Amino acid sequence: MVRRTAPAVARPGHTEEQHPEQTPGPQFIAPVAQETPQPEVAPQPEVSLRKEVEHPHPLTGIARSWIALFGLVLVFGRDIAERGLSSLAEMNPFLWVILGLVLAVIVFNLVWGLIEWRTTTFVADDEEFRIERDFLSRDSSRIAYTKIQSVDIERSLPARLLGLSSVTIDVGGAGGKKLEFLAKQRAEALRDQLLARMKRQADSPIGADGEPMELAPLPEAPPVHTVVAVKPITLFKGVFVSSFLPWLVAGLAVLGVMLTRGEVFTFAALGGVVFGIGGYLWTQIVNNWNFHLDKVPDGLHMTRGLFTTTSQSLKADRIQAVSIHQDYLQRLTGLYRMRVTVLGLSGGESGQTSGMVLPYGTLDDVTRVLAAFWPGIDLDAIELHGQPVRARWLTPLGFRRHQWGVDDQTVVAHHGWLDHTITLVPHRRMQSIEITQGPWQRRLNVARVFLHTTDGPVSMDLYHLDATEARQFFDEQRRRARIARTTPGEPGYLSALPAPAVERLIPGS
Amino acid sequence: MEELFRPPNAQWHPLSPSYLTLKLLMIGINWAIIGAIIIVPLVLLDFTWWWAALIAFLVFWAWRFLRAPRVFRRWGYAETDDDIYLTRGLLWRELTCVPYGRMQLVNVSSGPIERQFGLASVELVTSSTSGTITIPGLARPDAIAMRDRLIERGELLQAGI
Repeated sequence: MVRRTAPAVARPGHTEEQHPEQTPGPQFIAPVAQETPQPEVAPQPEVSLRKEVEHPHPLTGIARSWIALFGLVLVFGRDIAERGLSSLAEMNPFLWVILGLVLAVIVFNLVWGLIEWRTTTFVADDEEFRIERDFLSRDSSRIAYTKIQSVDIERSLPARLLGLSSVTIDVGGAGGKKLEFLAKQRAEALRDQLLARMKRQADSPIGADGEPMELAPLPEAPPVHTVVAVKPITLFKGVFVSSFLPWLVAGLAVLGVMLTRGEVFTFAALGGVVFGIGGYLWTQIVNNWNFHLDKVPDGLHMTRGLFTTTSQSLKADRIQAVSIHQDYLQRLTGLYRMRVTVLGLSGGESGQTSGMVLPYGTLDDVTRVLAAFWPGIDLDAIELHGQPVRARWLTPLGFRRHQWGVDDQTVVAHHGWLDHTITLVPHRRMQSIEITQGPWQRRLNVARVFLHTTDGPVSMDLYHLDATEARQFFDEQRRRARIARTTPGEPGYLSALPAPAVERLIPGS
Repeated sequence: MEELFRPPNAQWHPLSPSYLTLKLLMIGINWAIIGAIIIVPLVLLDFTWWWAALIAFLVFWAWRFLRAPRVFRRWGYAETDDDIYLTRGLLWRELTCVPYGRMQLVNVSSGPIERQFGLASVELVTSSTSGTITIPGLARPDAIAMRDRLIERGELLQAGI
């Protein structure tokens, strides 16, 4: 059943005044125009367009307190397993205090989880997406669909055991929300709904007759097409046969020396080696386990993780620049790593892994991923120019590799001596452009051109171009970027996005 | 100016001459303080070659003074229909082009000393921090007029991200 939504009064931009239409019947919630708390209603059966209020999953409390539980089991479980329950009586009082504290934390988390379950509600339908919390202080957050930049699903290990997921909604800056925890299917359906509505609202918020358009019911499970999946063997090859290998060998050598010759053993060194090497291995292998990139109708999903699985949504039009990198040892295995500068992902929590769209893949995988978000870009067809010979004085090692090329959509640059980096910036995504020339470069009559893009791990730097060529490129690129910016009917992945929520004195799109 | 840094239209607009005066004043004050911090301990510690250090410092200071007008002449900005250009630098030269459609924010600010000279600087913020440029040393009415012009053109040509 599709319900026709309210007339134009309740359009986006309009704040908390609810639509005046009150559908009769005891099953619908009174709209929240007043401050009185709304009556709690049991969640309705899943009909996508009716206004319904939903709660997080009741097992939220258990999923939250897993760290405490884990610690508890770790500390006391071994003892109990070895000596039986009677050992509990023999523990000294200090341990009793610790046990008590941990149990208190667990109970607290359980109770908090139950409270959150009862007092958090959310509504996700055609007009709005609203999350309300009602414990001690009332908190009602309404998120406009057009402001949603990405929706991520994260499943920690205990959450997976319980069949739950947490959903993080990013609006680019402050104001993002996290819903913990929902049942797995509901979380995925919610993500699909949010992304689909975000796209529809962006495309056509008001129908031709001034009324919001009737939207067809959303598909139950959108078809998923896997673009690339990183197999475990590829992951291991990529991590171990890379610039990390010398460090690993050195670390193991240090460990070996310390263990065989006792007198040089120090805890600090041991800790350094274990945490340094182990930490890197952990982030690379555990966080990238079973990485796969899927294409869905509304964008791309990146899923990865061994214990905690995260699934990030990515839209092609948010990608600003791409960097493909292969370090000197990876040339032996032929693997590349691919990073992007994406709006909203530059400061991700996982640090190094954010912005990584392909942790380890062959050139074939790279081409497929590029085609998934930038269809029509053919790296091989772009004609490449090199540096003038006299630039060898300044960069003798990287000279042969540094090449650049332009086609009608992007600029591409190759860098590196032993390693190899390919950087791509579409004309549409260039922010500003700069020429610099230091005193040595002036002697050799070469200059450097920077293309600025939004902040992120990718930067585009064409260095030591012949000075006349540099100025020519500067002028032409300026013109190409202007044309790309103002051309309507460009490919969807290059469409203009509203500027991020920076305080703006220049109102505009 | 050489070919690489030629202006996009007829010529570069220079900064206000009071900016040069401000710079000379700042060189006088800042380096005097730094010189004092370096030289006075050498004197107090009875370092035998302190007078050589003093002479070297004075030569360096004179060089900064003589260099300042040339650096000042290297500053320039130009506005065309679509972009604004800024060039600067004597040894390390730069030329930046920021399209109006990419500007997110235009800031006019004056520090306490700048205010004494009636100067202000205009900062153009884009969504790329390395692409954000600052044009210093404009007369305050000029700076405000430039900001208004930029905002007007930015509104017309705003191109999102």
